[in-house]
Amino acid sequence: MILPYLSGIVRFSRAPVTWLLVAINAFIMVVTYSDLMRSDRLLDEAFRDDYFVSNQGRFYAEFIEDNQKLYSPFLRKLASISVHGDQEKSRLLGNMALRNEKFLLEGPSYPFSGDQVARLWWAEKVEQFKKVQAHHPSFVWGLNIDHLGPFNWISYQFVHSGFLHFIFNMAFLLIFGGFLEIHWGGLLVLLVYLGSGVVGAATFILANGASLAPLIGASAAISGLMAVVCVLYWRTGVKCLYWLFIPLKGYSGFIHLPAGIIFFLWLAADLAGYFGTLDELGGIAHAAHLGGQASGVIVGASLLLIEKARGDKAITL
Amino acid sequence: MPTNRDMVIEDLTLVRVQQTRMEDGLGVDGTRPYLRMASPLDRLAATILDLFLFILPVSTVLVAPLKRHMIQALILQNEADFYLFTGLLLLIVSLVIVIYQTMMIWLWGATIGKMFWRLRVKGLWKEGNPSIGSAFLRALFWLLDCLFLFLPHLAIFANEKRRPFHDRVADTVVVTIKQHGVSSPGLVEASFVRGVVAALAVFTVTSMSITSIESYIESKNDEFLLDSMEDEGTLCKAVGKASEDWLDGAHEGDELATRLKVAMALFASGDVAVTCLRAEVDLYFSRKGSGDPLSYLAQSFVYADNADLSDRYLDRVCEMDDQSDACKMSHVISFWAENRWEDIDQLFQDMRDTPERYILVWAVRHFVRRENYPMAQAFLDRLDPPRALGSFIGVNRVKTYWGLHRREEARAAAAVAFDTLSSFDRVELANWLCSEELNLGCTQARQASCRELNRSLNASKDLLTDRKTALTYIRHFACIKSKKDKFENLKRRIHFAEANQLLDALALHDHQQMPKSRQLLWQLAKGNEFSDDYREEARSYLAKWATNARELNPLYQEWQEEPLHTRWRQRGQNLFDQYFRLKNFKMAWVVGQIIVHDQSVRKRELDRETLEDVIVAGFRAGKKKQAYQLLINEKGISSPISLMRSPASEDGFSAVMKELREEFSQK
Repeated sequence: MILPYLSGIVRFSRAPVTWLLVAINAFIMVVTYSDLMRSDRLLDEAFRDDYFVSNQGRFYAEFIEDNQKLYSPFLRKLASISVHGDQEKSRLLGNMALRNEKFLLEGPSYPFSGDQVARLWWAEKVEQFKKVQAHHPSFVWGLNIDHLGPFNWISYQFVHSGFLHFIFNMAFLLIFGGFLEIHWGGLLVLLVYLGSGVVGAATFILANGASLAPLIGASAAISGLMAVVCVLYWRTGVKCLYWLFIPLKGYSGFIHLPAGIIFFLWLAADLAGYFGTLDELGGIAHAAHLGGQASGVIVGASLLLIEKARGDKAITL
Repeated sequence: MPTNRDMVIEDLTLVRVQQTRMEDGLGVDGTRPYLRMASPLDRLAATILDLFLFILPVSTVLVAPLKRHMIQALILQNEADFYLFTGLLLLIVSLVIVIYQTMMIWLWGATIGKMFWRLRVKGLWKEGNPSIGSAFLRALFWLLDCLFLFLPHLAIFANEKRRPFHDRVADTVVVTIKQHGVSSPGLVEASFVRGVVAALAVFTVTSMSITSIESYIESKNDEFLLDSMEDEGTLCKAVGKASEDWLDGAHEGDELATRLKVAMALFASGDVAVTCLRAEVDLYFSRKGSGDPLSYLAQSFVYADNADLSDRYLDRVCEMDDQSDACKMSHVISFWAENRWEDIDQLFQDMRDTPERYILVWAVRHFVRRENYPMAQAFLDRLDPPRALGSFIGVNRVKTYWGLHRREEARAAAAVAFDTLSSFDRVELANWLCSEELNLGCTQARQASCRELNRSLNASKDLLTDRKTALTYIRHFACIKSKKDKFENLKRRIHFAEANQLLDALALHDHQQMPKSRQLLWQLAKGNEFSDDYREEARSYLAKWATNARELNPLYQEWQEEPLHTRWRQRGQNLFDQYFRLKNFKMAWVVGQIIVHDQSVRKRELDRETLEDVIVAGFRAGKKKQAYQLLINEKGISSPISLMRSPASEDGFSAVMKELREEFSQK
């Protein structure tokens, strides 16, 4: 296992902008935490209700059958199996339906055949679900089809879906942001963070259109910071932490690896995630990371060119 | 002992050591040549590094599109595609490993991991890096080692030159260019590793054998499980099977509707689970596209646990057709929830001519529960028995006859039912009927139902796990036991707290310790934590063993204050019998009047023997006029019965009747 360490967690005095970004993320996490938990509990309950999920799947299957051109061959096949009475596939479709804004918007008033009591019950639940969404921090602060304003393009970068999501993102923000701030200044960190977040969101929307499922988290912004660092120091050995699962001295510790390797590993993980996961199961989230990385690469390469034009021989640590 | 080949390797190495010394990782120690062999742990660390830095990242990116197709094939249960994409995926990963290792070792003599740990792969027969053929062979066999869970790699710890199989095939050796290498494995290390490998081999063979045996046993269990699932499926298959002989002219040709009605009837009779009904109604909706009152009614049963949802389905039934039987049935269900029993009686009576068997089944269940046996019988008679409902009809026929005091017919019906019922239903019916028989007294303990129950329970030496069955068993035991039989012995088979308390009380009574026995029985009767059946049984013994009216009066007080229910009526009967037995005709008359009043309100016919005893009690208590009123109001008492059924009625009912008629008919 190899993790980038760079300069480690730098002090506030050396990287005030990075720490400020962490502080904003933490503040929003604290402010939204109770709402987040309460809303998630309600949503979990809805999705544990087999009656709701299987009926949602049945209606989604019928919707797909009626609007075949809008859906992938995979979804059409799945819907065809579901409408012939396969309960398991109906449940699966019921879970996937959450990502399809057209179905969720038109479904409650759509003239589905079959059990009309179930249709009305489901439509009521969807309306309740939307009310919950209206107060859910991920939906209010995140970027989705109902929240596409300029505020959300920025705010989504500071909201997290849970404690672990927050911790991991902040650790990497401190490592890459702190390192970049020490060597290139806080303004660059701030611009790359916000800019990569915006580009990441744009990539996310371009990949599959705006969805009802919101985009949240600092991952795209941090991917941008990482990419800038890796491009600027792509041949230079940067400090990494390694542990090779051998509990003896010498098989864990720090090594210096070219930053290009870190970028390669990070990019490979996102490419594999993007191409290897079904869109219907959330594969498009990796698109935001890739967008952030692309913007970071452009910024890093531009800085390299500028430095070269100025006549600097090499960027070293 | 080193082999000839190892000696050749050593000689060759010696020559090259002397030529290339430090930069090749080989060196000399005075006059003695040695290989600066790579540490096994360094090699392991290099492999892990290769895995994380190159093999995993490149492989996952290359196979990502295949993985997506594989997941799709898995979800769509397309086995051919799934195996195809899995095969392609494994092929690509294998190619990545082989190409990476071959090229790196051919070009640089080391992979990235090996470079990091300062290891080199050297060919034995020529200078520099191994040839491409040698590197390819090495990579190929390294991959094959993976198939054996890297066990062949353990040769690093046993082979004199620390060369596992892939090194020996490719004629290569891994050396270190660090200052210090490792020596050949010592005898102890080599023996230890060979021992470990042998042990692992034995362990693998043994565990594979055990796994095979377990798999075989599990496959048998799977068969059993599948059989059980089929049984559960049989519940649904039962619907298909029953549909075949379900002659229903109204829906001929509409197989789905017939299936749904069959499922409804079988669900009502308790012959199939709700999952089966759900499967049928889902099938109905998916095939028909739209529902009808029957399908919505079925859904209301399926979602009965969710009152709001169930009510919506019930409302929908009548919105579609408010004249349908399904709509009336939906009202029945609503009234059940509101305990509007008289309204339900009326609704079922309105549906008396319905051809729908599921309604007839629910009606029978309702009227048996209400103890309205004439109505239950009327509906039972309308259920021309398809085979699938045989058990339900058999059991309820017995209960109805019994409720109508047609006891011989009930016993005959039970005798027929015992031959046809499943073992579970047989025990349940035997338990119910034996319990009723014993309510009449211990003289009935030899009846067929009790013999059947005893036979079934004695056939299984397991614990008696059903409370009601255990209670009947105790009651029966108390009737038939000889002096040497002990209640304490029953405790071995019955492990309920209330049953044990009852057995203790019965044992104390056996040992003539009456006060203690009564104390335990009162504790049981008053204990809210005990089940109602046992509390009632305790009251029954308290009444039966009462030696004077003072002991009965607390039971009477308790009984008088309680609301009407089935057990209340049985308890009233017990109290009346005991007051009558103790010749306390005043209290017997009071209790008897309440019983008679309750029966007339419910429009039920009172058991003839009890009625006669009530009249006698009234006569003896000096309430001759009221007793006479009772006599002339009741039908069926015109013919005198001269039998002396009770020790209290010394001069018999016929004498009382004669005297009453003489005194009041003239007036």
